Amino acid sequence: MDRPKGEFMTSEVRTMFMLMRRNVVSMIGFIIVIAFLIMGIISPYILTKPEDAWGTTYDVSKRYLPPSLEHPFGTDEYGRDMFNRVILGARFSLIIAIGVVGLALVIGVPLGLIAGYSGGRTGTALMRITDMFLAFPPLLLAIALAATLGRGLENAILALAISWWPWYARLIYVQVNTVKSMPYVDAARVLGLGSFTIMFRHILPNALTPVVIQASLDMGSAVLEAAGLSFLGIGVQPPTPEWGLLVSQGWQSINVAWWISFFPGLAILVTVLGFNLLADFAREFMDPRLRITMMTKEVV
Amino acid sequence: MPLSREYLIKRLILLIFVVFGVLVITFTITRVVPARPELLWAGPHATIEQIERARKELHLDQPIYIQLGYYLLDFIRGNWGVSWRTKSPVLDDLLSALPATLELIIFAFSIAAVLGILLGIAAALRRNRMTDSVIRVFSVLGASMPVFWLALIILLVFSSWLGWLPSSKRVDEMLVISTGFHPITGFYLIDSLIQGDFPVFVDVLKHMILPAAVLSLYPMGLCARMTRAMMVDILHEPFMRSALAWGIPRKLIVYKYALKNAVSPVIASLGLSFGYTIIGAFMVELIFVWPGIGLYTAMSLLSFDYPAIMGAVIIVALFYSAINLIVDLIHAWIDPRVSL
Amino acid sequence: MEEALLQIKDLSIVYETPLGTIHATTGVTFDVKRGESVGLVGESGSGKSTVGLAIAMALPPNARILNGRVLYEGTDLLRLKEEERKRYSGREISIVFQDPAATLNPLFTIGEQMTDVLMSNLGLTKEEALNRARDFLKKAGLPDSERILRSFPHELSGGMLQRVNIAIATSTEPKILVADEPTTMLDVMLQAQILELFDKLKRELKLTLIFITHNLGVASEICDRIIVMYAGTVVEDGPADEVISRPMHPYTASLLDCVPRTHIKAKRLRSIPGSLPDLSKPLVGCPFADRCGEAKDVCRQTKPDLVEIAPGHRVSCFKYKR
Repeated sequence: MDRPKGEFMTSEVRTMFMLMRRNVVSMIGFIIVIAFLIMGIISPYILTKPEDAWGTTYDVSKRYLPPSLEHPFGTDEYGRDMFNRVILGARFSLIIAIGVVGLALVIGVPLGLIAGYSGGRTGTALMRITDMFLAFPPLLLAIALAATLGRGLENAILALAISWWPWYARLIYVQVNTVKSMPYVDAARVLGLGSFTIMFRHILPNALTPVVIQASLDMGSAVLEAAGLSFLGIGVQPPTPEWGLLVSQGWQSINVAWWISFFPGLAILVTVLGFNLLADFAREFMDPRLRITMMTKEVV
Repeated sequence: MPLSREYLIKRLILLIFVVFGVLVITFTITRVVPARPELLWAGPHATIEQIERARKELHLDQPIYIQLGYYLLDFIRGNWGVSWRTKSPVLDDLLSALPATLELIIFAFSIAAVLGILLGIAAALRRNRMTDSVIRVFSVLGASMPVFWLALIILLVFSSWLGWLPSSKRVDEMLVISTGFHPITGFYLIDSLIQGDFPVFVDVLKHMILPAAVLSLYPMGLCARMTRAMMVDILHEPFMRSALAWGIPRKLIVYKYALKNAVSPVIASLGLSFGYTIIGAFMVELIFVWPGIGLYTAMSLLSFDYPAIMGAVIIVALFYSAINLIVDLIHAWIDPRVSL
Repeated sequence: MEEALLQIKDLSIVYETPLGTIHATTGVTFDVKRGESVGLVGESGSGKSTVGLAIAMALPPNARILNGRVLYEGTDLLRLKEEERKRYSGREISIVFQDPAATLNPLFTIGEQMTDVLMSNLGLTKEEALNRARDFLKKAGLPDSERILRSFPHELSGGMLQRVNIAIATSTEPKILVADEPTTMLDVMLQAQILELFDKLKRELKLTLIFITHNLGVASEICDRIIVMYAGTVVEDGPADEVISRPMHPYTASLLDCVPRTHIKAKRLRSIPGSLPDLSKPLVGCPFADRCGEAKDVCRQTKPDLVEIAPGHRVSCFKYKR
C-alpha cells in the first residue's frame, strides 16, 4: 500500500494494523467492511441485470427459479434476479448507514458539546433530555417516529437518526468534561482565547475522536435496525431492494422459494458481523490492559 | 442482604420521573411532530365526522401544555385510545396480549441464562484458544444476526422441512377444546399445570420452543461471554487461592464462591440484552404468530393503526424502564458492597 | 535424632510470566522439627514466600516445580494427586496470607467462610462448626465473636481481618502453620499484637510455625531458628540468637547493619549497594557476589554449598572451610 507518509500513518495506526494482521478474526471483519463500502459505492454500475435490481420489470416466466449458475441467488415472485437485487441492496444499506450515523452526529455532537462546555445547569438539563430518550429500548423510538412520519427511505433515516443522537450527545458530553479539566484548556483560557475558539480548536478534536470511531462502527447496527424497520413495513418501500425489505418479501413464499429471504438476510448478517468484529477489536485495542494481551499471545 | 427502604423509595421516585419523560416524548411524537395529528389518530379510513371527533378528543384547539395535561390524565385513567382495527380500547388489547409476551420472554431468558452460565463456566475452566474463540464468535454472531431472518430460517427448517414442531400460535385449539383448558393467569405453562392438564402443557412447550430459542440467542451469547470473563477474573482472585489453601474443595469453590461473584455480570448482561431482545420479540411474535404485544404492534404497523402503535410503544418503554430498575435492585441486593 | 516433621529438599521453582521465566527458588534445602518455629527471612524477591506457598500447597497457577521435594512426615506434598492433597491442605498444613482483606471473599460473611472451612476439613455439622469458629475467634483475640461471624469482610478493620485469618487458619488445628508476612500490611502497634498472638497460639496449639518476613527483628522475636534467603537460595540457617548476634554470611551481616540503632548516632542510613541479580536467568556462582564486600573470584564462578559450620548452624559461603 503505497501511501505518502503523512500524518495519517502515525505509529498508532501502524500498530493497529500490525495487531490486526495477527488477529485473523479482526482481519476478516476489516475485509468485510471494506468490501461492503466498495460494494455500496460501485454496485449500481456493475449490475448485470439492472432492471431486475431496481425492480422496474418483471418476467413471469422466470418466477421462483432456484439458485443456479445464471441466477446465483435464484429469482423472486416477479422473476427478478435476486443476486442483482442483493448487490444493489448494498448501496441502499450504505446510504442508510451513513445517513443515520451522519445525521445523528450532526444533531448530537453540537448539543453534547454545548452541554459539556457550558456545564452546570444547562449541561445537566440537556443530559436529562438525553436520558429521557435513552429510556426507550433501541428501535422502539424509531418505530414510533417512522409510524408518525410515514414510510420511505428518508423518513426511516430520520427516525433512526433521531433515536440515535442521544448516544453521541452523551458520549461527547463525557469526553468534553474530561478534556475540559485538562491543563491545556486552562492555558488557552489564560491566554485570552474566546470561548468559541477554545471549544472548536482545543476541546473538539480531542473529544471527537472516540465518538467518530464509535460512530463508524455503529454503521453496522444502523444497517441492522433499518432492515428491521423495513421488515416491519415502516421503512424502505418496494420496489427498492433494501435487504430487510427483501427478506420480508420472501416471507410469503418461504416454503416454495427459501432463497428469496435467505440471501438478503445472509448479506445483512455478514455485513453487521464485519462491523461488530472490528468494533470488538477496536474496543480491545483502546483498553490498554487488553492491548498487552493482544501483543504477547497469538490469538486466533 | 441490605436493601434500605430509602434506596427503594429513591429509585421509585426516579422511575416516576422516567415515566414522565417517556410520556413527554411520546406526546411530542404524537401531537407536536405531525402536522395534523387527528388524521393519524383517526386512521386512514376515517370519515369526516370521525376526524372531527378525533380533533375534539385530542383537545387540539387548546394550547400545548393543556394538551399535555390531558394526555397525562388520559394515560393515568387508562384512556389510551381505541384501536380501529380491533375496535376495542388499546389498553385492554395490550393488557390481554401482555402475558403471552411475558411468558415467551421469561422462557427465552431462562434458557439464555442457564445455557449462558454453563457455557461461560465451561469456557472459563477450559481456558484455551479454541473455546475462547468459539465463545467470542458465538456471541458476536448473536449480536449481528437479524432476528427476523433467523426466525424465518428456524421456522422453515424445524417446522416446514422437518415437521418437528408447530409453526404458529401458542397452543393447538383442538387440544384446548378437548381437554377443557382455560386460561387463569394468562401464563399457559402455569395454567396448564394448575389444571393438571398435561397434554396442553407439553403442547404449549412445543409451540414455545422455537420462538424462545431464537430470542434467547443474543442474551445467551452475551451472558456466556460475561460469565466467562468474570469467572476467569474471579478464579485468579486471592480469596480463591486462600480458600483452596484452607482446604475447601474445588467444586464448592467454583459453584458457590465464584458463581456468586459471577451472578453480577450475568444479571448485568441479561439487563443489557433486554432492550435488544424485546424488539426481537416483535419480529419473532410476528413470524411465529405468537399472540403477544409484538404481534399486536406489528399488525398495527401494517394497518396504520396509530393509537395501537403508540400505546404499544408506551407500554414497552415503561416495561423496559421497570426491568432496568429491577436489574439495578438485584445488583444491589447481591453485592453488599454497593453503597446505597 | 528425631526425624524432622518437614523436609525441604533441593526445591527449585520457577514462575512463567508473559515477560519470561522467573527463577523464584533454586536448590532450597532445610528441615523443620516438630514444634519448631522457623523464620524465613529475606528481601523482596528472595523466594521466601514461594517456599512458604509451596509448603502450604498454595502456589499460583503459573508456578512450575523444576526440581525438589517437600516431605511432610515422609510424603512428598508436591507430587500428590488432587484427592490426596485435600487431606493435608487446610487440615494438617494451613496458611495465613499477607493481605487480610484480599484473602476473604467479599460477598460472604465471616461465619459462612469459616464454617465452610471447618465443615470441609473436619466434617462437622453447621452447628458444631459455628461453635468451633466462635472459640477460635476468641482465641485469636476477638471476644465479640458473634458480631464478627455475621459481618462481611469490608465491615472490619485490617487488624481484625488478620485476626480472622489467623482464626480460620488455626481452627483446623493444623500441625504446620505457614504465616506469609502476616504483619507487613499492618501498622506497628498491630504488628506487636499480632506477633504476641502468634506466640500464644504457637504454644497453645503446639504449632510448628513457619514465619515468613523481611524483618529480621520480627523474626528474632518469635522464631527459634532463622533461615536467611537471598535471590532464591538459602544463605544462612541457624538458631535465632546466634544468627542475630554472630551472623556468618556477609548478607546477614549487612542486613543487621542496616537496622538503625537508637543508641548509635549515625550520620546516614546504611544500605546494601547494588541490587538483586536477574532472576530470569539461572544463577551462576554466589548470588550475593556482586554486592558482597568480601567477594573473591571463586564466588562468582561457583555456588557455595550449604555447610554446617557450627552445630545446627549452616552457611553457604566460601569464607568458611569445613
